[in-house]
Formats: sequence, C-alpha cells, structure tokens
Amino acid sequence: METVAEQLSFSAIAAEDLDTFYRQKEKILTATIEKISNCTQFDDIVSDGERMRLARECTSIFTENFHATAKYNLPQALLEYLDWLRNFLRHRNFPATFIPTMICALRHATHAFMENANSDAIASVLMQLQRHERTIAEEVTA
Amino acid sequence: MNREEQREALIELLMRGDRRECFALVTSWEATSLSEEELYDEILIPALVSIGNDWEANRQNVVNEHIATQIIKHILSYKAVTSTKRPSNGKSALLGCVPGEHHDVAALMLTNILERDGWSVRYFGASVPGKDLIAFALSMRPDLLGLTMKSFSCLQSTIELLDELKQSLPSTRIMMGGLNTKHLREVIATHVDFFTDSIREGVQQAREIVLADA
Repeated sequence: METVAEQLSFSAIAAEDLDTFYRQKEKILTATIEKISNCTQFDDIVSDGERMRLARECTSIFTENFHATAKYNLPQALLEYLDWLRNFLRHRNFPATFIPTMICALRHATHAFMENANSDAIASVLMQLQRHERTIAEEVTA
Repeated sequence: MNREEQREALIELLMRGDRRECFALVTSWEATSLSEEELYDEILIPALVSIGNDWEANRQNVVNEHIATQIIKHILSYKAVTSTKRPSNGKSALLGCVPGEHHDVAALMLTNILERDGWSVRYFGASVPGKDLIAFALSMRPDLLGLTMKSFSCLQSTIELLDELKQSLPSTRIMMGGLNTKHLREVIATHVDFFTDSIREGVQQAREIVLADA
C-alpha cells in the first residue's frame, strides 16, 4: 500500500484537464454506470434495486473524491477512501472485482467524454488505481 | 457503572429505539458528577461511532442508525434547556456543517456548551449553500465560526468558502472539526485557525478566544 501511495501522483494532470473532467462528470458517470450495468459478472447486483443504488452512489462519490484528491494532490487520502469503500462493499456482498471494474469503466468513459481536453494523464492515474485494486481483488479471491 | 458500561447500556437502548428509556438513563447519570463534556465526549459520541461502524459493516440497518441519531439530538435539546446558563461573555459563535456535509451532531453539542458558557450561538446544522452561509456570517460577524467536515468530496467548495470568509471576516476565528484524515488537514490548515478533535478541545479553544480578547 505504501508503495502505491508513493508512486501515485496527480501532478501530471493539467488543471484545465481536471476541470474538463469535472465539467463532464455527469456524462462520464452515466457511461460508467451503463458499463457496470452491462457486465454479466454483476448481474446479481443489477437485478437488486438496493445494491444497484449503492453501486451508483459509490461510483458517484468515488468520482467526486477522485476529483477532489487530484485537485489538491492527495493520493494517500484517495487510497484511504478506497480502503473504506472496499470494506463497505465487502459487507454488502459486492464481489472483490467490483471496484477495479468500476475504475476501468470510469477510465474508458473519461477517454470518451473529455472533448478537446487531454484525458491521458487522468486515465494513467486511473489505470494505476485499477491495477492496485485488481491486485487486492486477486489476493481476496485467491 | 463505569464509562464503558454506561456506553454499552446506552447503545443497547439506542438500538432498541427506546427514546424514553434513553432519557431515563441519561437523567439518572445527572445525579452523579458526570459533566456535559464527559457525557458528549465519552458516551454519546463513542455510542454514535459504534453504531456508525455497525452500519458500515452491515450489522445495522441505516434506519436504526438514524433513529439513534435523532434520539441523541433529543437528549441534546433536553440538555440545552435544562443546563444552567452563565452570564453573557459578549462573544458570538456560528456553528454548523460545511456545504455538502450532514454530520451535524458534534456542532450541536458544542452549541450546547458554548451557550451554557455565556456565548451567543447560532446553530444552522447540516449543509447550507455556501453563498447563503457567507451572507449570514457577514451580517452576524461572529467571533467564532465552527464548521464540521467529514467527507472530502466538498473539499474544493469548502476551501473557496473559507478563503472568502477569511478575507471578509479577518477577526473571526475559524474552527474545523470532524476532519480525521491528516492529508486533508494539511490542505485545510492554512484556511482555518484551528482544528478540534473533541468537544472538550473545541470548548477549550473557544475559551482561549475569550481570554485572549479579555
């Protein structure tokens, strides 16, 4: 965890790109939720109204927190939030793959809706987070 | 009963949602030397944290958690009207949550104690729009502005709010509570005068304002 925190940095993200990300967040969020809804591995979540509501809410809060921590370059705070979210979702029978899949969907949606801004730096950080969460998910399921 | 037994007894009644029994328990402690600060810091807040942890771990329904919070707010209203108020110290405070924040119980506890200590307090509770909060603060010009912030999705709007308040009200001291993530504190630190981690600490810092201006 410490290693990821040390490596993770938001400093490559240009302020205007982060502003565009935030301006486009509703579109990005909608596309991310749609992608999650179409994942067959989450069929039981999608068919459960309450858990799907949680999935939407967690994705929305993660997106807000990603923006806030990126703006003030607080990678450790975002990782602490992910620790909390992982624990919260585990107690609600979400599969360990939910968070990395959600971050992956968010990364694709970011590329799709950044208009003329550069999405590469944001996507690169999301990729790092996705790998970090994927590793943890694999350890859980091993 | 020691503190732990008091907490456990209250948590059990809060989980049953039995408001009258909770009141009976709290009033029974008034006969002992339990101070308001001890009641808040050592019993009520830990009880809420414990219930919140149970909700996070899916051991408690969110409705149970809300019922427990409402009962504690009723206990605080009872304490507000029954505690003996000291003469006015001429100081004023505006207390509540930053925009987007809804955890307003600690600010209500601080309201009770500062009022008891002779402060003139306006408590606005949970999230209000930032521009309305600024307008109110400008008209009130409080000596102390106490805000609670737990979640950090509202970080940017909070920093913008604090910047504007600091500029418009340079003599108002700004206290921030609820922020237990050290990385966020580092970002917020330059925008507030002090942080507080407990009701006792908040009260102590408020008292220092009174002493400094005496």
